Amino acid sequence: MDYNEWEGKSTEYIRDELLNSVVKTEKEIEEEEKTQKKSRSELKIYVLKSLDCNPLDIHDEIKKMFTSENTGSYAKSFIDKHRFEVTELNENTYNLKIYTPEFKKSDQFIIFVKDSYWHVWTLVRKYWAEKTLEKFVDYFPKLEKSYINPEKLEEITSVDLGDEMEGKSSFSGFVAKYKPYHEEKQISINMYGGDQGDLDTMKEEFHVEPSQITISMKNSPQNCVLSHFHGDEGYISISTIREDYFDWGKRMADKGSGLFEDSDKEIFEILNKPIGMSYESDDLSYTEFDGFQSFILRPTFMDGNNGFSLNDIYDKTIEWFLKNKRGFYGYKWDDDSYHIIKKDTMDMIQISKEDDYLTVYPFDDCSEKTIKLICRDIIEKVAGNITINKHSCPLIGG
Amino acid sequence: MKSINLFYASIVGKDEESSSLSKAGFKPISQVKIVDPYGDEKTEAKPDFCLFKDDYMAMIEIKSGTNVNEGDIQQLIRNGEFTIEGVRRSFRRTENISLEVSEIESFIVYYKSTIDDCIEIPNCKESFDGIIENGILLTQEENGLLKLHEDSNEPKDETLKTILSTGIDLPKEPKTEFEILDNPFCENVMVFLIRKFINEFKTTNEILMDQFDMRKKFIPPGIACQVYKVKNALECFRKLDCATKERGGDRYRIKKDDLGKLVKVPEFLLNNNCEDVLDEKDREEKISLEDFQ
Repeated sequence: MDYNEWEGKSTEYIRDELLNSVVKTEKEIEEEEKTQKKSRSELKIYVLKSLDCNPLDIHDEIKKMFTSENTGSYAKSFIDKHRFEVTELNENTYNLKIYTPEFKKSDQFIIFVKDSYWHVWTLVRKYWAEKTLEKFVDYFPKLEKSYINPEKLEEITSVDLGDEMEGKSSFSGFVAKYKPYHEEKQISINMYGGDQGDLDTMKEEFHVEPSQITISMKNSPQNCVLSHFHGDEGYISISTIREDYFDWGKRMADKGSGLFEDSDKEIFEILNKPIGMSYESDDLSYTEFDGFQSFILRPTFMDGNNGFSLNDIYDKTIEWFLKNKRGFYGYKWDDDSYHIIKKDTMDMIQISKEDDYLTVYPFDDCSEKTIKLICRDIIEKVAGNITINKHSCPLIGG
Repeated sequence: MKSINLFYASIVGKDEESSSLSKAGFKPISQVKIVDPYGDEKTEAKPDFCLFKDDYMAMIEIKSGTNVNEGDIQQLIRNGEFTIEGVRRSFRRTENISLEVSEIESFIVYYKSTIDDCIEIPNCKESFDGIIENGILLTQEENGLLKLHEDSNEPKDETLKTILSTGIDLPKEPKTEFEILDNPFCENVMVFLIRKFINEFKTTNEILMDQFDMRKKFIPPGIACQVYKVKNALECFRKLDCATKERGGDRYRIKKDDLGKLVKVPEFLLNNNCEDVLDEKDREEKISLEDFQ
């Protein structure tokens, strides 16, 4: 159906309609479990960080991107091959339609705006969502995917989903991927119905961290709500809501997406930019900085024998950005430091190796998006076993 | 310059778990120049940092060398002569710093190894004693601590005394927040300008300026840097094919497209210097950065 028909409807109504799409009967669920095939598309909720942007600005921003010299050719090609239409449904809710004329395809995404985050709900199949929405977010400078540390992902408990859920939700499987650029070996483990112990085993054996966790809300022994937290791609998907358990589904959607938002803010929200200002008068001059921010990347385990020492991680990180990845410049700064510059935005960071961790220091008003991209690349391409923590310090006004 | 950035790390904190001077409530300013109109013959001080908390102010000199010099003692004495009225008057027009200063203390920071060595040498020990008499001595060490020296007077601020007696963790590789000092070397100016150019290229594709305008735009007002140094830096860029000079004029042109070459310069300068580059006669082909390896 055309979601524009929901114009004027309340946010609650629209969410309920979308959640209803994944409500399944006993029979359907049985059939699915037997055949291991999904009968319908999952409801996906992408949690995006918006940098001072409203959905209605999308058209103008895209136009600017298309005509700017700083935009890369891939981005321009993407814009060329798609059309974007945004309709306001109510005060904080919008329908984004992305058309792909070449395949005569039209995909719809409902955007709920919550301050600086957009919660984008869609039933579009993953294959197409990747080609449309996800690519759009990659290229659009004012939007970023949210991020959750694998450690946090593992720790999602019933309580996060609401006290009443205590004892009712459980870890029900995971996907752990490890795709280092510097090794022939690439590992992707999908475990259905596994438990924490299984995950721990995988971590030890294969040095992988979970990129996706499946959580099931049970009214034992039945699975009543089945959802998947895609830590690496910034969305939660709900594949099944058993009929009669609609409220649980709602709770999962709200709390689950809230977790992504909280986690993202905790790690990446830049509160204190190191912007320097100088003051000068006859009898006084000085410089002061607004604040200071750094990102600490701690490997959760290190194994010098298998190429996982901190030195290895540092060396391979530098190699990745300067030799393999397109779009970055860099130069050696000191024994254990490099400066890295993103070509299209001129964002610059210093990456340094300490005893137990790597530190990423953004310079000036380096964008959050660039820092996230760099951190995520290190995790996806060099060493998956890293937890990111933010260190933030205000310097003005205390 | 690493010594300045290392100390700065004690202000902002090594990581999210460490203690820091800002966590302890001290607000910093850097690259400070204050004139005290009430002091003897108009005292001027250029502390590397000043820290403020309530009515307390710390003036901090950072030393990077391996020696303790007589000049250092003079600096400490001069800083110590600053009157409270003088400081209040100088800061009266600033907006961010509201000053109710009634206590000023003078600090000096050396690398730990410098002090450890100094105490062993009789001549140096004398200077060391002069330092101890006239200010508060802190030592710092990469991947170590910023700490109050055991022989030093203690700061009057209790919090400062405690935190500095325990010591503050310092990183191995602090962030290079400060990249240029008074009377910089040509190489320093070059690397500094590269970073400024990168920031400039966020909004423009080309920089076209002579050395005067470059200095005005890019070098912080409190930093003493003679124009000829900027000129030398620009000439080096030109010889390394990173910049061109306009015909019949003094302006240098650096384009965003030159960035690929510019980013090779810092590593080049790890093993070469400006003099080498400037001495090379202009040839038909430009000097390639690879020539010098």
